[in-house]
Amino acid sequence: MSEDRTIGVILDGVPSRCAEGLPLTSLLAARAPGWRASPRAGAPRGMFCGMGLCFECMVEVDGRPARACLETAREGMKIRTATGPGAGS
Amino acid sequence: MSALPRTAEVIVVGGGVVGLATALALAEAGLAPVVVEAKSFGGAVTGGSLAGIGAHMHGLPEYDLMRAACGLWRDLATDTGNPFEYRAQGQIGFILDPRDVASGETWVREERALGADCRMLTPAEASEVEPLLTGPIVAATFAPDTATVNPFLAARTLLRRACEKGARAFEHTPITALTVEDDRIRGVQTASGERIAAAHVVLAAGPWTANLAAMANVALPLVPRQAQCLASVRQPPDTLRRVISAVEDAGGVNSGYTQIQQAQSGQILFNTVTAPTATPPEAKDQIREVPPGFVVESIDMLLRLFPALAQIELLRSWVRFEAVSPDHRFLAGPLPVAGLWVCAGDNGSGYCRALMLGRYMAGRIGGGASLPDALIEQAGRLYDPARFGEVA
Amino acid sequence: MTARLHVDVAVIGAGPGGLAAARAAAEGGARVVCLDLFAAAGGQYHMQPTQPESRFAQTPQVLSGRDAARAARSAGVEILTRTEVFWVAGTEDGGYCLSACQAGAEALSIRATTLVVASGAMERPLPFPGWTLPGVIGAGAAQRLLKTGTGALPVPGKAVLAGSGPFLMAVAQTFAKAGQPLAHFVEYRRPNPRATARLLARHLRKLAEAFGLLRDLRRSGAERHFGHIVTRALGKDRLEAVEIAPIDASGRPDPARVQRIEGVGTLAIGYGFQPVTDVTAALGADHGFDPALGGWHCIVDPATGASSRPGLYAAGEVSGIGGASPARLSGRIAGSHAAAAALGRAAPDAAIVAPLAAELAAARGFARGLAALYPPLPDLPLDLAPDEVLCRCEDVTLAEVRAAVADGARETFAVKMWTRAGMGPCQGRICGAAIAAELRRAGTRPEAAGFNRPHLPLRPTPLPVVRAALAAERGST
Ligand SMILES: Cc1cc2nc3c(=O)[nH]c(=O)nc-3n(C[C@H](O)[C@H](O)[C@H](O)COP(=O)(O)OP(=O)(O)OC[C@H]3O[C@@H](n4cnc5c(N)ncnc54)[C@H](O)[C@@H]3O)c2cc1C
Ligand SMILES: Cc1cc2nc3c(=O)[nH]c(=O)nc-3n(C[C@H](O)[C@H](O)[C@H](O)COP(=O)(O)OP(=O)(O)OC[C@H]3O[C@@H](n4cnc5c(N)ncnc54)[C@H](O)[C@@H]3O)c2cc1C
Ligand code: FES
Repeated sequence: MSEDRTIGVILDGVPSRCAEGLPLTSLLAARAPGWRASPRAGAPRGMFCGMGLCFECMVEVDGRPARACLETAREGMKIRTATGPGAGS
Repeated sequence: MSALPRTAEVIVVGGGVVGLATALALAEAGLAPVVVEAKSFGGAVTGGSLAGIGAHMHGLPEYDLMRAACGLWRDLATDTGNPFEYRAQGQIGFILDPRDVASGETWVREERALGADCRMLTPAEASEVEPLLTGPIVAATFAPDTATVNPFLAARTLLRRACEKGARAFEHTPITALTVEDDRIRGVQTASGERIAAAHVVLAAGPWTANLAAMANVALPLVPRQAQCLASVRQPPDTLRRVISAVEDAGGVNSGYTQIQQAQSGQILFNTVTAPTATPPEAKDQIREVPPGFVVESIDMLLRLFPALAQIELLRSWVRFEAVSPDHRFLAGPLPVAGLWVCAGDNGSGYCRALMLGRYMAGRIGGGASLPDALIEQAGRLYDPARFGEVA
Repeated sequence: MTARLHVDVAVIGAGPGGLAAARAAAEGGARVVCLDLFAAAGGQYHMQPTQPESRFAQTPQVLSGRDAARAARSAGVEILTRTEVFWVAGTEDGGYCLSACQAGAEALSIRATTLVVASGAMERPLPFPGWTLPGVIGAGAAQRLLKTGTGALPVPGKAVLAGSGPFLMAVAQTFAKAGQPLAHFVEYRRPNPRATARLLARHLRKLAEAFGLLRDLRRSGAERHFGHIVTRALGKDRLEAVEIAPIDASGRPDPARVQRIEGVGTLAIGYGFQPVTDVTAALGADHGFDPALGGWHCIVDPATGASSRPGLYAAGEVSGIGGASPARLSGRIAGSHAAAAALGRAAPDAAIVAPLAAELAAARGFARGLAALYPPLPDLPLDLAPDEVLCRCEDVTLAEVRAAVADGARETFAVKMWTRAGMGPCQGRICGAAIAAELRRAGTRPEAAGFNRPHLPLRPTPLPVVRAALAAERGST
C-alpha cells in the first residue's frame, strides 16, 4: 500500500496533481513535449539537454523564470509556460 | 582567404567601425584600400557598442557634423535595404536630480536653435513615451530622431560594401611595424613578417592607435578608457522603446553616464558609471571582466528607473576600451610623417561619427569632395591632430 | 540578504569528481564547501531518483552516490545543492570569490583559498534535420527522465535511442532497468569485436560491466542497428517519425536505404560528451583541444590536478572526458592538493596520493581505449538544409552561418557577432560544436576557431541575485 504522495500544482492556470518531487519536465512533457516557441521562427520547443544547460525548457515558476529540468514539483507551485495548452491563462 | 598583397594605394590599420567606414569611403573614391585587422572585424569596442546614432547632448561646436553623420547612417540604411537594423527610435534623457533640470533645458534650447526637434518632457509625458519608465525622474529631454544600429551587422555591412567597391580586407593580421623612410611612410609590416608597401597608411586602431603611431615616432595624446555593458536575456518586443540616457552637465566622457536600450534581439542593454576612474594604459590588453561595482551601480540604476524589470535575468557582460583625447574629440587628419594619417579618439561615441569621418578622411587623402565644404572646414578645425601642438 | 561563507576549499560540482575532491580536501584538514545546481548531490553518474518507489532507488550507482555524499559530509564537507555558481573571480590575496544563486532566488557569496572545479560534462549536440522538434532530447535527458521521474517516459509513442559511443549502451541499460520499452537502438559505429576484446583483456575489471551493458541492450528489446544513423526527425509540432539509414564505406548515410519508423514519441540522441568548461575558462586557465577528451578541456597536471592558474584545480570530466572512475580518482588527487595548498602545506601525504596517480593513469588509459573504439564524430556526416537551425537559442540557420563565413568570419567569435549564434541563454554551449564543424569545413582548425569565452554571469541569473552577490563580494551591501 502506498501512501498518497501526490501534490497540487497549477499548470497554466489549471489545477493538476502529480507526484511530489517529480521533475517538472516529466509533468510538462506528459501534457505535450513542446511548451515554448523559438524566438525568431516561433517554432515549437521543449526540453532538450535535461541538465540545465540549453535553456530550451524555460517556464515561469511562481512568477520567476526557471528551467523546468532543474525544478521539482512542490505543493502549490504555479507554473506558466509560453505556449503549452492553456498557456497564459 | 587570399594572400596579402605586396602593395596598396592606402592601408587602413584597424577593422573597427572607424577603419571600415574609412575603407568604404576610400573605396567609393576609387582608392582600393587594404584593411588589416589584428583580430576579428568589429570585435573590439565596435562590437561592444550600443551604437546610438544621434546628435543630442553631444555639444554645439560639432553639431552640424553630428547631424551630417546621423544622416549618412540613415542614407546607408536606405541604400542597402537596412541589413543592420537601423531604427530611429528616439532618445530620452532622464533627470533624477532637480539641479540637473536647467542643464536639460539648456541642451534643448540650444539644439532647437540649431533646428533640432527635441523638447522637455514632464515625468508623466516621459512615461507616455516610455511606458515602463516609472522611476522617480523629475523631468526628461526627448530627441525623437536618435537612432540605433546593430553594431555587428553595421560593421559587417561596411566591410562587405567596401569589398564590393574594391577594398580588400584581412583579419587576424596585426601590424607590428610601420616603415618610414625620409619622413615618408613606405608601408607596414605584419606580425608574420609580411610587408605591404603603400603611399598612405591610416591608423584607425582605436585605443591602440597611440602604440602604432609611436612606431613612427609620433606621440599622440590618446589614452584608453575602459567602458562596459550588461545585457539581460531576451524580453518581449517594446519592453523598452527608446534610448534612455542620463542628462549630464557638459562634463564630457569623463563624467558619469547611463545608457539603457533594448536591442532588436530583445535583450536589454544597460550601463551606468557614476564616478569614472582612470584606466591604466596596459588595461586594454589585460582586463576582460566588468568590475563588481559597475554591475551593482548599473543594476541599481536600471531598477530605479524601471522597477517593472526587477525579475529579469542578466545574461552577459563585456568590457571594451575606447580612445580618449584631451578635448574629447577625434584626431582625424595627417600626421607629421608624410602619408601617415590618423582617425581615432572616439571618446565613447565613434559609432555615430564613423561614416562622416570616413568621408572626411577619404576626401583628405584622395582629394575628392566627400562632404560639403563647410563641414570639411569644420572638421579640419575640430579634428586636426596637430591642435595640441607638436605631435612628432 | 546575501549569505556569506569563508572556506579553505570550495568545490564546484557534486558528481563523482566533486564529491571525491571535497571529501579528500576535508580529510586533509580543510574547511570545505561543495556546490551543485541539482536538487540532489551525485552529478550525472550518481543521479538520484526523486520517487521512493523508483526502480532505481536501490541500484549500485544510486547507493554509491549516496554513500559518497554521506562520506563527504561525515568528513565535514558542507554540501549545498540547488546552488548554481554563476561567477568566480580571483581575489587580491590570491584566493577565489564565488557568487552563486540558490534555489533560483537567493544570493550566496563564498570566499575560498583554493578552488576545485568538477563541473562535469554535457552532451556534444550535433544538429541533424528535425533536431529541434519537441520530443527530440539528449540521451542523458532521457536517462534523467527515467531515473528521476516516474520511471516511464512522459511522452507516449515509441522510443528511439541513437548516436554513438559506449554511453548509448548505458542509456539502453537504463531503459531496460526502468522497464521502459525501447523500440530502436541506432549506433553509428560498428565497434570492432577483436579490438573490444583486446581492450577488455587489458582492463579485466571492466569485463562484467561490459557484459552487463550488452545483456541489458538485448533485454531492452530494441531492434539494434549498428552502422546506422538517424537522418531525419519528422513531425509538425512534435516528433512523430524518425528516419534512419545505414552508413556506407565513406562514412555517410546511404540515401537509397532509408528506413522510416512511425509513431515515435521520443528520440534520444547522444554523440558523446564535451567538458563543461565555463568556470575554468572564465578564470583564464589554459585549455586544450583534443577530440579524444571531448574537445576543449581544462589542462591539468594529472599528478596534482592543478591547472595553469595558481590555486585552481580541476577534476573529472572538465579536465577531459573519461567517465566516473577517472573523475573519482582525479577528484581525490585534486582535493588533497587543493587542501594542502589552502592550508599552506607543501603537499599532501605522498603515500596517499601517489598510488592514486597510477590508478588514474590506468583509468584514463581505458577511457582512451574506448574513445579509440568509438572515435568521436568530428562533424555530423549529414547534409543539412540551408534553413536548418544550428543555434537553437537565437534560431540561427546553417545558411546564415555559411554567409558569415563567406563574409570573412574565421573564428567562433566572429560567427557569433555576425549571426548571434552563441549569444542566447546557452552562450554557445549547444551550437559550439556545430559552428566549429562549419568553420572547419571552411578551413579553420578547431584550435584556431576557439570557443565562446565565458563572462559574468556564467548562467542567466536574476538581477537582484547578481547585485546582492557582487555587492557582498565588494564588501558592501
Ligand atoms: C558600452 C558602449 C556603448 C557605446 N555606445 C555608443 C553609442 O551609443 N554611440 C556611439 O556613437 N558610440 C558608442 N560607443 C563607442 C563606439 O563603439 C566607439 O566609439 C567606436 O566603436 C570606435 O570604433 P573604432 O573603430 O575607433 O575602434 P575599435 O572598434 O576598437 O577598432 C580598432 C581596431 O583596431 C584593431 N587594431 C589594434 N591594433 C592593431 C594593429 N596593430 N594592427 C591591426 N589592427 C589593430 C583592433 O583589433 C580593433 O578592431 C560605445 C562603446 C561602448 C563600449
Ligand atoms: C548527460 C550525461 C549522462 C551521463 N550518464 C552516465 C551514466 O549513466 N553512466 C556513466 O558511467 N557515465 C555517465 N555520464 C558520464 C559522466 O560524465 C561521468 O560518469 C561522471 O559523472 C563524471 O563525473 P564528474 O564529477 O566529472 O561530473 P558530473 O557527474 O557531471 O558532475 C558535475 C556536477 O557539477 C554541477 N555543476 C556544473 N557547473 C556548475 C555550476 N556552475 N554551479 C553548480 N554546479 C555545477 C553539475 O550540475 C553536475 O551535477 C554521463 C554524462 C552526461 C553529461
Ligand atoms: S532541458 Fe536544457 S536547460 Fe532544461
